[in-house]
Amino acid sequence: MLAVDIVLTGLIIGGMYALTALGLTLQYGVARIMNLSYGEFLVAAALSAFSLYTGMTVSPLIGLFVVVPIAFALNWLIFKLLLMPLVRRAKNRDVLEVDSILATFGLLFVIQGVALVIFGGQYFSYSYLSIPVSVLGSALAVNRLVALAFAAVIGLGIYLALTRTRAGTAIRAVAVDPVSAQLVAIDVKRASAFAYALGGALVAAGGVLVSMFLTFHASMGVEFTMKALIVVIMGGVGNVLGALVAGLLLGIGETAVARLIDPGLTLAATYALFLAALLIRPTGLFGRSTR
Amino acid sequence: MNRQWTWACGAVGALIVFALVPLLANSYYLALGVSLLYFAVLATAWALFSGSTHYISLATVAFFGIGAYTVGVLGEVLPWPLVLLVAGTVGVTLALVVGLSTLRLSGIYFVIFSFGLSELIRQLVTWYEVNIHKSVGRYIFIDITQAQIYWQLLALTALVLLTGWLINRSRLGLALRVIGQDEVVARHAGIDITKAKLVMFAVSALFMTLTGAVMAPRWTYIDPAIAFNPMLSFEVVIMALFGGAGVLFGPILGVIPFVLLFELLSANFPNYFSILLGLVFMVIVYALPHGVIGLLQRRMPQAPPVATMPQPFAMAAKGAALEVRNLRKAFGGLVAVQDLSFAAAPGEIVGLIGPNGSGKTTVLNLISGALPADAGDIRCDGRAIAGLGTHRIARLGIARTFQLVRVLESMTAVDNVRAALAFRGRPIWGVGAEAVARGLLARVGLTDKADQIASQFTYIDQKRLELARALALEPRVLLLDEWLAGLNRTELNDGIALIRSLREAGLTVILVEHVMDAIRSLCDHCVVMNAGVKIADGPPAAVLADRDVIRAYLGEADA
Amino acid sequence: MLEVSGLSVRYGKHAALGNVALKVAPGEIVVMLGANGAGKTTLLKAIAGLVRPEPGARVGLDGRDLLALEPHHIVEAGIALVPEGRGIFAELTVRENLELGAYAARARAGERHNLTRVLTLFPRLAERQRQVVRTMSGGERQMVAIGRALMSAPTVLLLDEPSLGLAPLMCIELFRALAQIRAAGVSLLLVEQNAKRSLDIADRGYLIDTGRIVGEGTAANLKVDPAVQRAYLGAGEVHQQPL
Repeated sequence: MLAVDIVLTGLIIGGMYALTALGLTLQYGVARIMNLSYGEFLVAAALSAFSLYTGMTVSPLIGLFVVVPIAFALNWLIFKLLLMPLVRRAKNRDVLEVDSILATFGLLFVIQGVALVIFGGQYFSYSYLSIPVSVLGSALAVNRLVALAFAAVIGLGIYLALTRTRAGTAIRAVAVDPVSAQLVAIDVKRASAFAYALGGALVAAGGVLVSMFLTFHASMGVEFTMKALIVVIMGGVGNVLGALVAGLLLGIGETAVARLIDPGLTLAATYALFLAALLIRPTGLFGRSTR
Repeated sequence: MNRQWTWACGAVGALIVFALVPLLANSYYLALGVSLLYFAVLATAWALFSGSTHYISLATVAFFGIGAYTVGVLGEVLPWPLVLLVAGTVGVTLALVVGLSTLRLSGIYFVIFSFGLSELIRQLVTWYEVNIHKSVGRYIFIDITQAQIYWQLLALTALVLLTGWLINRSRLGLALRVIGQDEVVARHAGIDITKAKLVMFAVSALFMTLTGAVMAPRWTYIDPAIAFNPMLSFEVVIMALFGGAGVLFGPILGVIPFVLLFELLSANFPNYFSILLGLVFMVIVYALPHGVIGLLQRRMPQAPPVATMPQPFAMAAKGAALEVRNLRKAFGGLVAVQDLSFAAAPGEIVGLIGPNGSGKTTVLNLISGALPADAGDIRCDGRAIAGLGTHRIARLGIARTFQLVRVLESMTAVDNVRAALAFRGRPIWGVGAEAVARGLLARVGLTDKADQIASQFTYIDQKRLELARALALEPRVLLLDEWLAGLNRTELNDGIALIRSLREAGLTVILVEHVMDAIRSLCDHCVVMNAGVKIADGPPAAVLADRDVIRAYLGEADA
Repeated sequence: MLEVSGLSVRYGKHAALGNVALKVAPGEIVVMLGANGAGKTTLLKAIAGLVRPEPGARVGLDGRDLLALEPHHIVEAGIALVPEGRGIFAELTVRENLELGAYAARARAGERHNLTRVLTLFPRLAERQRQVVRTMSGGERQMVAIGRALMSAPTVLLLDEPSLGLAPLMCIELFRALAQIRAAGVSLLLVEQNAKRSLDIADRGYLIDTGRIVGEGTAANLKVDPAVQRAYLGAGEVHQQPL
């Protein structure tokens, strides 16, 4: 049935959007960096998974355990070396936002350039677990279901860590009010670096997972960044549950447009949804919160 | 006048010299000239909008690409001038649509939206090509020589510089400068912020679109990926920022080294172009001591000085009655103002006092329109003003100062006051404005500092400047928010005398204060608030001896 | 013992504090009196490390130089600030706020004990542990704020206008709680507008005007000093400097 098909496929892709948006909401909501190069990390992770699989026949699911920690470490370094100087010298939030947008804009081109040099400009894809399985009458590939399962586990893990552990609560505190966070002895700079690195790790995880079933190109990053940004803004900055719901809505909406209207108009539909959400509620559908 | 003639002659001369280039240079240098010119237009157009409003637009290539693609679609169907007209119209329409949707939101949403805009347009155009045109990519066989492209670009460069120059001298330019520095001040000076940004965005987009259209014949084949290459937006931002987006000719200064750098890089390291460019850009962002915004603010073009005699300040309108009825404002669970009613007769000074957190500043914010009221009525001379936008209330004659002084730091005192004169209900602009501005500055005792930059003023002088700016609105009601705070004895006496002279000129003043000496000597009557509620209303001596008021300020001794 | 000397703070052109000196001995309640804009909030922020003073200032806790520390380390050293506007996490629950209060390493060991003490001090909070703070009234928020600060096991508690916006009955409860806190061994530096009630529980006080200390004395003396009333309500004549 078409409707079921759309919903299921939409949920899967929406789950992936939610996972990647989670990372960005950590980077923007906690570390207060608007990272325009976010999507490039997703593409880089996907390309790494591709190399691992085609070059060394390492399953992407194993590859996760290699790529994600590297991404964490790399993003930690980027925050400490590249972004902290901007945070330190910014007199107020607006200055930091503009500087971080432009610095990460530059970073975008660096990463894209490196990817193009190493991998060239062609399209990449590989086939892993692309066995169709019947779910509620629709044919879905096993790799998509596996990706969703992993995303769900990772997402749940992050959610629990953020809400049940002391360190997680500290990170949420920094997102809510960094000044008050200082007053409870939270090292805001360290928490920001951790959140930023964690965000980078999450987007890398997303990249590895989607590489199993999407076709890639070294310059596709911008589109992913845009979608992650839209999900974060629609769901409310810093809001984990909001990112989840917004991501799922986006996934379903996009799939519906692709199937019912035209696959070439998905980004336009996404934008339309984004604009509508902003016009109705400028603070995002769920506002700023950390539940 | 002499200076302007020299500039004009110089400009025309330069134009002639540049126009001769195609006749003298070989095709390599001509191509370089074309590159320099098209980036010059794009960078200057970018700075026209982003340099003044500080909204960083990453959408340059969206408009450029639309211009190019319009030529691809219509180039062989319509005569060239009409093609340009259509391209321009499409670009402006898109700018208005995007602007209306995003410019009312905060700057960061605009940046994000502009970032993805070119992707969006590219996808839409691709969809159109695939589904309606049935083939992606167009051939452009228009008979235009490189020299003709050069001359058109030269004309566009001259036009964009002329437009920028005219706007800088106009009210719109002043409005944008004020907006770029402090949107709150802008709104309270009567500036319609959204409209100003929108117009500027559309003008900027128009030039970008036309540039794309003019450049299109250079490619014989065009497809969405070629026309909407995001690198272009990036390159334009780099050039404009590096050259100095706050100054009209700044971006052009940035264009020259970068175009040469690009030539070098694409000739020698074509594969590493993106990486190197990204690194160069990041270096620029880090090297700027005040961040990118600091670069945008570096030097504001000055409006031309006009020599006139300062005239005495004249109150055109007498003070108005202000009536507040059942005013209420809550923030979530906290009720900041509860069922407040009071009145000020024309020419009265009314004190609004109360301990910290009593809601006084909130009341001022409600009257000036900075905050919307939840319930209640505010009337100025019988006219309801609750619910009108801040800039409309400012034009109706409610002026205010702020608890934390807000002056336009990088502008002179005269320009600060001129900014307020230009957008009030009865605007004064141009030749007459300077005289009135100097008169107002004399009124507040700033005659000899009139041409100094406001950031160099002492605290008390900044307060005086803010007052002059408020008076420039020809207010019927003046709201002073702790204007006398932080002053020493002498300054305090001067300040009190100044306010008294305003009352003598007939102005109605609402004074929020903690300096009780001032309240006692200035106010006709006082409204005392505590925890959002009015607890007393009467002459100062009586009110300040009232037991409830004393208890509110000093606290209760015991249960 | 908290010792401050030579403390000056500028905001741009504005001299908010000029050469301020004060002491808070262990087990004392010291109150800072003065009209608005006098610099009281700036003083507390400077001690807590949120605002940088001009060179030449000295802020020490038991001999330890606090100016060299980052704000979160100052909390670890034993200073807790309850700022105006509360310094709480409005989007989180009461329980989460209190738990975050004990984030500092010095507070971990006694967390259980401190939580019990805070909930005994403010029984209303015990009933509402899962309530999101944003939905609570001003008085309840103040309780959360003070409770949060107490959870960090401070030696000195800095309070900026804790009675702000509180109804009279809540004020009574508040000052009762403050006296109990002192009894438990925590010193308090209290910035207050409610001069009479705070002088009732304080040991000593300072009077501050336009950024400078213009008076000092025991609470008993300050209660009858006309300079205090003048500082808040004015006198219509030139303000004499007492002491």
